[in-house]
Amino acid sequence: MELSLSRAFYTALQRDLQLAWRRRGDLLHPFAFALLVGTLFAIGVGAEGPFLATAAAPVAFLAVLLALFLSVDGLFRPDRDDGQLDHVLISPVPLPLHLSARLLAYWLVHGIGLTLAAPLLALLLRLQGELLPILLLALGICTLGMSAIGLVGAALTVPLRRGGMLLALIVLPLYVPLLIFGCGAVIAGTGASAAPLLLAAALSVFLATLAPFAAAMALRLGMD
Amino acid sequence: MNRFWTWLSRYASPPVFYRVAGLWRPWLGWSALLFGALSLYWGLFHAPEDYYQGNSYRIIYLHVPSAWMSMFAYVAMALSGAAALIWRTKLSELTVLTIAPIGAGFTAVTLLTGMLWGRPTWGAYWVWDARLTSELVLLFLYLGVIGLASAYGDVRRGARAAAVLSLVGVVNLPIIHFSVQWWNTLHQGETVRLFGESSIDASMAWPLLGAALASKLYFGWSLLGRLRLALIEQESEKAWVHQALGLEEQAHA
Amino acid sequence: MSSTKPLLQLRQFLSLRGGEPVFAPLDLDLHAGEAIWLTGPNGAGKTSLLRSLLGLAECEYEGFEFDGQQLPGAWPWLRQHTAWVGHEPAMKAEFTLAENLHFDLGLRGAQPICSVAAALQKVGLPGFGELRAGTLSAGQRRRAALARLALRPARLWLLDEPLANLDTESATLLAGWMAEFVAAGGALMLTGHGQLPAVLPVRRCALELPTWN
Repeated sequence: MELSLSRAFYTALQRDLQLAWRRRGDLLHPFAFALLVGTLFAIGVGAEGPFLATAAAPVAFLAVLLALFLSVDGLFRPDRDDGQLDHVLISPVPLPLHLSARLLAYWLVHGIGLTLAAPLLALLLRLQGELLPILLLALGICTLGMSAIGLVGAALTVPLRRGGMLLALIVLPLYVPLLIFGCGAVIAGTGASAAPLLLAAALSVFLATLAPFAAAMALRLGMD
Repeated sequence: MNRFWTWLSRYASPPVFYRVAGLWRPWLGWSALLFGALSLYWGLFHAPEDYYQGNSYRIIYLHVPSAWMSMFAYVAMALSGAAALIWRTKLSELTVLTIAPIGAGFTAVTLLTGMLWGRPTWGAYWVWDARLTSELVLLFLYLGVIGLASAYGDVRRGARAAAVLSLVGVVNLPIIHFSVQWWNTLHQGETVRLFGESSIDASMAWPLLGAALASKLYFGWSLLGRLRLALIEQESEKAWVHQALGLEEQAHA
Repeated sequence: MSSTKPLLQLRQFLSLRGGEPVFAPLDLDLHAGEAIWLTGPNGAGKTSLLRSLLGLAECEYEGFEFDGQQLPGAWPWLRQHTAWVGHEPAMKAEFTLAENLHFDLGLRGAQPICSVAAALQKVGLPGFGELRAGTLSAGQRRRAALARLALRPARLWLLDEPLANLDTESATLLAGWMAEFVAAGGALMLTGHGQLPAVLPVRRCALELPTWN
């Protein structure tokens, strides 16, 4: 029987994108969650204070980061519950290849989808207008790295009954460098050097390359 | 090379390891105590006062060895994790599980002593210094490994999951370290360092080296002890355990 | 089939759960053109056995051969020539049956050997291809899951409770199809409770709980 790897990759990508489209209503929840975090923060620190002006960019970044984290548990759990994960594990297609397609689809749907919440967050938090493009770029880049870390975390916790807090403990500390470079780029502003953004991009690509292999190792723990 | 592997696999077999570790442990423990007591005594009472920091610097004799060990233990955990995933020996899986709490302990001591030193020096228990921040993230990484391993019902699968996570962590550790340092210079500039790049007088350095040696010996003592216990628990139905425990009881009687 | 060598040969085979054996050590030969019905009380490890044959659950054995090749080295070979339908139907409620079956095969990087419509015909769901899986009953979903057996050539079918939730008529239809597959030289291992339709001749294999010492 012939085995076409490119066909397997594109089918996985198409399947995940199409599934996300059929369930597009579900995407509203993390989107609304991100806006809610921004709102609660603004109410907490007081809308007129000077603190809000300086904190706008990091708060918007964190709101997206937390919203993205909330959907990580859904990466493998539904597939494990309905038995589809077993079929993926015994498929002749190399698991890391399948997981790269997964990661790409997840980033396109959740990462880029949530990045689109940033303009609204910028509005709510009164971010200076010229910083918005940098914020969008930084989020677009960093969500790839965060998705990659999430992939490994989700793969490690999928055999457990509940991911929840444990997943947070595994995933969130690893977000630190992306948070630093991403927020650093926005805080540094328009005229500053592109170094933090480039570092974030390099780190995201590095993580996205390695994560499918680590996640494959994690998913196979219970096997042979 | 071949002889090396047969030698290694012989010591990785639980009964042999249990016996050999039992022989090594007292030596490690007593020498850790000896070196620790000597270097702490020398460091706390004989080493000269620091020109800038007065007596408060003396906490480095606890702080610095713990900080070194917190990193060392993480790397050791990741290495045994790699061994656990490649060879799947029970001993290397259990090593991952037993190193994690020891490393977390060293990290906690590092953070605690750093805070105690920060109060007189910086005027606050917590300052977002690059080293302390890295240590804090490291503590969270340890807690993640411990939490993951204990969430699995099956000890060996939990150990293998922890092994994967520790490998992921060890790849990220230098990146976290570098990014935090970069972040620190961005936000605060240089602060007084507990143990900076400045030269250190030999009379202060010797007790520090002694304390570092003591912390390594303590690590070995604690690791071997925990591993012996974990092996007995895991292999409680095997004949060698009953034999080993029975023999020990007789020896004490 | 003239070969006398069994397709699947197990010697002192054990599935493990949490490092403990699930059933007493098992010796079993499964030849091409033969069906085995695994029986045993709940918790005797029928599902575990099927899953560990695929390498989805941990196992220990003295001998484990597929098609004359030794495991674990032969796992890719075994998985390639084996079709598995587990207890869960592995279907997404948001996709139609046709989409589900199409993706299922595509994820393996394979092309179907017959049309989806023909496959659904086999399991008694003609014309159901454009219906969303979420709108079907449990029994219909189970039959739809079995339709993937028709889309890919395989020498061994491992089916976990394929006839659960089915009415007598569908059960007879599916058992007839399985009998066809076996008669054509396929090997089949299935689990289940109660009675099997008479159209499918099987050899029973009872799993026993392990003895504790």
